[in-house]
Amino acid sequence: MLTPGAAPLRIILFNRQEMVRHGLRHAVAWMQDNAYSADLCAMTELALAEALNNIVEHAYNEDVIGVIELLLEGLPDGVKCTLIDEGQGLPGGEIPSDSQPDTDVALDDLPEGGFGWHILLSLTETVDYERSFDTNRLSFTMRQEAEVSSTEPKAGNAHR
Amino acid sequence: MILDTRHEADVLVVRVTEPRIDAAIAVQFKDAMRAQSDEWSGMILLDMSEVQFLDSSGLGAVVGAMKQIGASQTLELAGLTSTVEKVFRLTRMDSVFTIHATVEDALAIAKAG
Repeated sequence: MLTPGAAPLRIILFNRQEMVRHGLRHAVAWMQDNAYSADLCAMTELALAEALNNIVEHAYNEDVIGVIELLLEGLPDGVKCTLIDEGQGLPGGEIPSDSQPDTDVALDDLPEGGFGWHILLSLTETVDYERSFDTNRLSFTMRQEAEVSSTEPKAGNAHR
Repeated sequence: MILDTRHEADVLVVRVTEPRIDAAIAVQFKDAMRAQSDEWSGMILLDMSEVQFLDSSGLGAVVGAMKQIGASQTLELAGLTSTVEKVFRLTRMDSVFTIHATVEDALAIAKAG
């Protein structure tokens, strides 16, 4: 559980894949320092990676230098993650609906992308998105309960 | 090198030596896999036991590797760590790939078959 009174983590990153790795290292170290479970650290790292990749690959053009602010705040039962960037907004101004890429297809038609939002939305309860003054603000909460469901026996997961 | 290879009977065992297959390395991974499959026509077993982190780009690269290998050859996976296994499960790619708990399990099945 979170160390009482722990200071939030705030990092500024540039829109480069190497910086995503850098940011994730810091985020995981902060969570480990605050005694979050290994499972919650791993799931938060994955969710953050998908959100950050999305910003690097879609919000910003490759040829511009953009900044991403990453904020982690401790909650009694989890962690709140916020990502702020000044790139393009999400298409339609909202988070895409959760759609699972079709895997029941021929080998050549298997999807090699389009998994990012599905993974992020699967791991989090709610994802909030707001665009104002040319700024995107994406936030989501990772809860300790996520750990409970993911450590169920395999058989318990089969029907999901 | 991000891949280390060895031959076990009729199987080419390709061990990923990177702890992460993510967006930063996905293209390099797919290219390295192509170099392996271009020189081998039998079954390829991808040992992922050292991979601690796989994001959607990494998953896309593994799928891409299987597609470029084509239907004439087999790519199977072994040794998925818990976080990596979760990504396969969330995206239902666990139903697309043949996944073995360990390399030894996979080789035993390959030899028996």
